[in-house]
Amino acid sequence: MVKPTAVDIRAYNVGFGDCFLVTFEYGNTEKRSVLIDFGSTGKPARSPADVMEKVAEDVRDFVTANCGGVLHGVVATHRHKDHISGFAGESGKIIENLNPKVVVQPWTEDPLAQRNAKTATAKSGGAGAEPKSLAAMQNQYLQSFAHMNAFSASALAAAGPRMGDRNETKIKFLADDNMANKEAVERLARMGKKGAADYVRAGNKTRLEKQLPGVKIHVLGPPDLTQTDTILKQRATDKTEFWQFMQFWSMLAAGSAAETPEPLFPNAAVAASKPINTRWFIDKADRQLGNQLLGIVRILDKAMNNTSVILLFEVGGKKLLFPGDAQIENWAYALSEPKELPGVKKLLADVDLYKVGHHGSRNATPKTLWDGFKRKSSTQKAGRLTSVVSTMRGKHGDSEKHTEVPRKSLVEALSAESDFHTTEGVRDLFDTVRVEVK
Amino acid sequence: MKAKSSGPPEPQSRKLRIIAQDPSVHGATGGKILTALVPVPQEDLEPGPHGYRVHVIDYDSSTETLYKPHQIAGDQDSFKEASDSELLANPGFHAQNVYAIVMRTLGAFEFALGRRVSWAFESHQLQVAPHAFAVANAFYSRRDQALLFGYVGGARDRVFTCLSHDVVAHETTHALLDGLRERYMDPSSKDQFAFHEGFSDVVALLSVFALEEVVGALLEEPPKSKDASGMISIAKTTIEALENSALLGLGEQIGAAMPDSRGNALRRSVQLKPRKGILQEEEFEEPHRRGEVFVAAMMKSFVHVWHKRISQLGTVAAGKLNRGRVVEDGAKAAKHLMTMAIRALDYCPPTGLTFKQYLSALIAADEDLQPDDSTYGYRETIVKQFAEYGIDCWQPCPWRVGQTEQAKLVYSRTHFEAMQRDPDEVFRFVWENRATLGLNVQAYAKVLSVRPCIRQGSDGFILRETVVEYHQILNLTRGEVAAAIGREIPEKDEDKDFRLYGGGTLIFDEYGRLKYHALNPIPNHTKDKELVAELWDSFQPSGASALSQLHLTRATALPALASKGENEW
Repeated sequence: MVKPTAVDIRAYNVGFGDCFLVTFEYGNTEKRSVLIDFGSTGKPARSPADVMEKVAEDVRDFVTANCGGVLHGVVATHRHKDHISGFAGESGKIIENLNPKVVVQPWTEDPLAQRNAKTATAKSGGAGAEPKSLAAMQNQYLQSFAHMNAFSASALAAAGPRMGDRNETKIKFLADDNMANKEAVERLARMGKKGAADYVRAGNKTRLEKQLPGVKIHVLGPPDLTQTDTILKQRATDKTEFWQFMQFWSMLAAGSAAETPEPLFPNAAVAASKPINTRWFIDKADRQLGNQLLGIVRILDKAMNNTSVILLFEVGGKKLLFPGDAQIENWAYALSEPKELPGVKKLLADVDLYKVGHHGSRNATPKTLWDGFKRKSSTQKAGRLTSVVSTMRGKHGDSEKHTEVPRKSLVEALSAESDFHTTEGVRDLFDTVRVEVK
Repeated sequence: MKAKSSGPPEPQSRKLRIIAQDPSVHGATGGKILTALVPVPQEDLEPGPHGYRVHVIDYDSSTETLYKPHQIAGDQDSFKEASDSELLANPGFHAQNVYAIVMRTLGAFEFALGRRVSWAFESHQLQVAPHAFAVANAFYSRRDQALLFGYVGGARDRVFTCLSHDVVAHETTHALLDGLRERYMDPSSKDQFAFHEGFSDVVALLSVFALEEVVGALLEEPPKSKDASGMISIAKTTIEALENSALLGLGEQIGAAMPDSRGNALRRSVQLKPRKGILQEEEFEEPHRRGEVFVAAMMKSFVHVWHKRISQLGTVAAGKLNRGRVVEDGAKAAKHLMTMAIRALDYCPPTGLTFKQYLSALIAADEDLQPDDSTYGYRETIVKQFAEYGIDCWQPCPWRVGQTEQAKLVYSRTHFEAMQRDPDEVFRFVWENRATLGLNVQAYAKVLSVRPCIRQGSDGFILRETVVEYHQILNLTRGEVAAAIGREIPEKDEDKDFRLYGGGTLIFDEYGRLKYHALNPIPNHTKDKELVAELWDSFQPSGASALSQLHLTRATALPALASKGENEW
């Protein structure tokens, strides 16, 4: 049992979300499995209501039959609902009972860091005070994610038809995905505490490696602010922008903390009716509110995506890349070939299997990354790049604006130049992709 | 209006109280929020205030509340004695604050241009919502015919964007600039969108500095008591000292109050080390960073001119100047520079503006109006400051119509009187002279505006001039674009409606002769391949929400770590 001889990837059809069971085979003697993400925001058509439980049961049954009842690892790439919702409720219990040995999450999820951030931020004078050091900035950055969750909750409550139908639908979808998934977050932390919890940033080692003999695991993202700062320095951008970013979220969260917004001026006289000459404008203002809320939830959705853990598994000569929903800003660090990630460019060029980032959206497969993949080929042959995407049409983005997910032109490139697998249209619970290791 | 049989003429303006900068700027004595009385045109207002150019509608979309419209009480200064908390808690005061600043900014434009200035939409009245929504954003929206000001924060730390003088003046300037040059929000030269943002910053900041109250509060060595006019050391009035106290001081105060980058825009602008190649650096390709370079050149010019004025003051004691005069000169320099900056717009082409062209237009316009610039050397200072940032000025301006060109122009088929107001008559002139003027006959052409204006010449006489704007549009097919840029057009861009713009501004003198023609011709797509490719690559479908998005991104986005365009699908 020294080296894996093959890797099987079960891509579960969870609709709009990610759920992969990655199983490393050691000849005929042993199998070890890692669950990478388990969430959904849009169940597949014609699926049972309890599809997440069915998935969890399938994971349990597989692990029981093949891995001695042990789940060797869980990776929750980031806290979006479509990546972790399955860790809540009944399906979550089933996974927890498998006692995963290692739980890998991004550094932004570290409960200790978050608690420290809260105290540190409070001590340094609250969210309004400009952080003096990078460490202080990092603390405020962590706090800003809680603020984003809070804002999402209020945006979800506020969204209504007066903001325009399209605005309403889109705000609801994104805000829902960005709500705090308290139960799932707590279960992940608990499982980590029981086994081993790794909260990683680019360049870290993970204890998951010990669970998978013969497998090397490279953590390529997310960068923390120190790492981001090294890229920023090359661009001479002011630190103040970070502060602004954090302050913005904390103020939005402060304003939206109350469930029903209170009048700004409780003592001021309110117009008894809406005069005719204000109606046109009021209608426009309501739509503009919709535009603003949508603009903001889009920005926070992206910020959250960019906390995704990017893992590259090196198995024998094969390289498997799982980038969660990382978008360009997260990728920028690894792609800048920093000292902390020696040889990263070559590693990425050699990728054999690529889990397509962010369900195939337009900006989560940087062209620089795609262009660098050496194993792309327009003809079917041994050693050709394999790509796997978990996605569902019509949930996210807008084809008129070329933001639809999955992005048509990306899907075309993937189908033309790789062995392309998608969960869309998969009738069974999952689709299996096999990678042989010599 | 009430008829009056005798007595002095009815005043043309009234004074309204506003917050001088924002609630974080306090007076030197007493520590109250610094306010100022500013003159606005006299008019009989409906509740709102609802006047001939502005309709304040205090509707808060986040709470779905419409506040009772505010009635401005005659000529009384109702908020003179108001406490800070009264000012902050009274939506009526907020309504008055935005009304007064919008009207004051409009007034500054009309004063500089010598005529009425229209909005860019089909209405005379701009709608203004001082508490539009609980979002840290404020913007002008042409489609909504409105300025929308958000607010943010909880009860204890609430920030109202409508109470920041610079924010209100900035958004009003966007609206006015859009009224004067409707094509400046189109995708075009790198400088053009940056100019919209930078110019709005400049007018807003100069508008704040034109208030002696603000200048006085920012300068060092504040007077000990309210009545003492006081003195100030010469050492506190050097260029460096003024940059630190006034510019940086204001930048820091704005930045402290707002979860938004405007304060930083000023602060960063002032700290931008002048260098010739700055506009070629990648970081300054982004519109708001690029706009900061423009702000830097203009605000440094302001400090230099102010310093020049100060250096001509006599000392009142050894090493000491009269503080009041230093303050007054600062406000005067700001006001004068603002007028110059606005007047320059009449001399700018209607499309494809670059910083260099704006600078050249500014200098040409000022030469026409103030041939003698020797007292304070405004022009020389501005040209020098822009040059430090690699923005050169055409001297002489090639847009002035020379004798050779004049001799070729045909006037005999049009009529002097109609040429001052009728777009069809002016178009006939343009068409008859198409070869001389360089009109592209393949492209759609339209006269956008004919604006007679009145200015006072340096000899005291009144000059009547006419400013005309026309533009041209060339729609290219995909094949033509592909041929021009030398590569295939990806499927996602198939429905891009790609147009090339061009156009000119014509200024006719008091005899109806063309004296100035600022022309940006439509790029020749068969020859100017590089330019067409650049336009294509920077092309974004234009939308009315472009400004709102720009402002939101300024406030909320982490700095860009990678250039996205080339990495997206």
